[in-house]
Amino acid sequence: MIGLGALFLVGAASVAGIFGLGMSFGTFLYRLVPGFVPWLQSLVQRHGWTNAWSDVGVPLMDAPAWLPPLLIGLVLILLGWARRRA
Amino acid sequence: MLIKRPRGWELPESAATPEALVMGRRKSLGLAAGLLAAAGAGPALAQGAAPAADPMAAARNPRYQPGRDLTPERDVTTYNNYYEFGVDDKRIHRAAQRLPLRPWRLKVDGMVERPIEFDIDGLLRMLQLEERVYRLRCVEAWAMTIPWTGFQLSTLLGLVNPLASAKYVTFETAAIPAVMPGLRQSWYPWPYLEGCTIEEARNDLSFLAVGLYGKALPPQNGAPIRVLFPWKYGFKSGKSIVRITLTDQRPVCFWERLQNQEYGFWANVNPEVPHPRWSQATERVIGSNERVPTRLFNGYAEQVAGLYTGLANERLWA
Repeated sequence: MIGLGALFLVGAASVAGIFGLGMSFGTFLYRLVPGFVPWLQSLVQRHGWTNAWSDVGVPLMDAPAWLPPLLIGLVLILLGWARRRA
Repeated sequence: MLIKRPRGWELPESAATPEALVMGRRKSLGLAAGLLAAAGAGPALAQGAAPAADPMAAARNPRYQPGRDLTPERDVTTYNNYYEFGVDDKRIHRAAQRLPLRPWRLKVDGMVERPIEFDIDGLLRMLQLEERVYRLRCVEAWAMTIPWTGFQLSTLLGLVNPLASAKYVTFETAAIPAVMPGLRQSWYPWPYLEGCTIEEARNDLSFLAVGLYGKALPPQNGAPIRVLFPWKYGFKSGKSIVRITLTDQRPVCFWERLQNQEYGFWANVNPEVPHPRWSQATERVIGSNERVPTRLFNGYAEQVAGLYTGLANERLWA
């Protein structure tokens, strides 16, 4: 798990290095797979979670592209570290 | 014995307007358009001024019978898709109130003899408005029935005289970052662009709406001017249009650019062709919440099916 977390951290650094610090996560996804964000939005909203998309999904997509992999990486490393200590 | 059943758009010879009258009106319209163009597309009203045309005055055209009850006005004006103002369809109507409706320019250009940039009020003064009740079918499987006020798209095209080489019409909608927070969603390819063929644009059903329920169009419904193709899924009917361009190149439209497999160029309503993630066989009627069968071309097959003969290789339904 710590290894996977480290991979995410490397991914975050790569995204920041290649696309710059300012690119939003949504734009990054749009560049990779143009229809992914609308697909995800439609999926969330069709299950009745309209507010979840506008209140959580949109801010997440607005966040810098490097932030989600950084956060996921840190969480995985912390979980792996906690598991090792347990 | 041959029994001829007139189709929806057929009229007896006796009902045809005399050619001289039509040509005379066309001439005067052309002259007015030319004058408008010469005068910088007509006098723009001061910001915030009321529209010159009174959509309330438009008579309902009895040729367009929806066969359903009208959707309550409150539902029509509070349940909206307008991504420039956000993604929550129940909050759009409040966010959209910031859209400045005057002055509003509508540019019609591209492959036309007379490109014109209209002031919206100047344009409305030139044209005879009418009310038409159309069914609206959203690709998300809900439906409304709405009395729209406006004029036929072909009338506008008549003012600019499309060149014979024009094959498609694109509709570009407003993109005003100061009042449209949705434009910050940079994962959408703004501005919203829609399109159709010139034949579709010339069909009697293609309509430019400037009002609904006898009132000026509210911002959340696409004020001050939007296009309507009632036989297509609703996303084809662009709101708050600022530019109409005639071209010989098929445009790549907003949703087509994002998800071509789900929201294609043609997007004609067909209950037998499901969306990749849901059925299109039925639709939920907003207002009553009743679920009713969806009809081919949203029930307008008689008027538009002929547009698609010889296009068997095209993906007409998604």
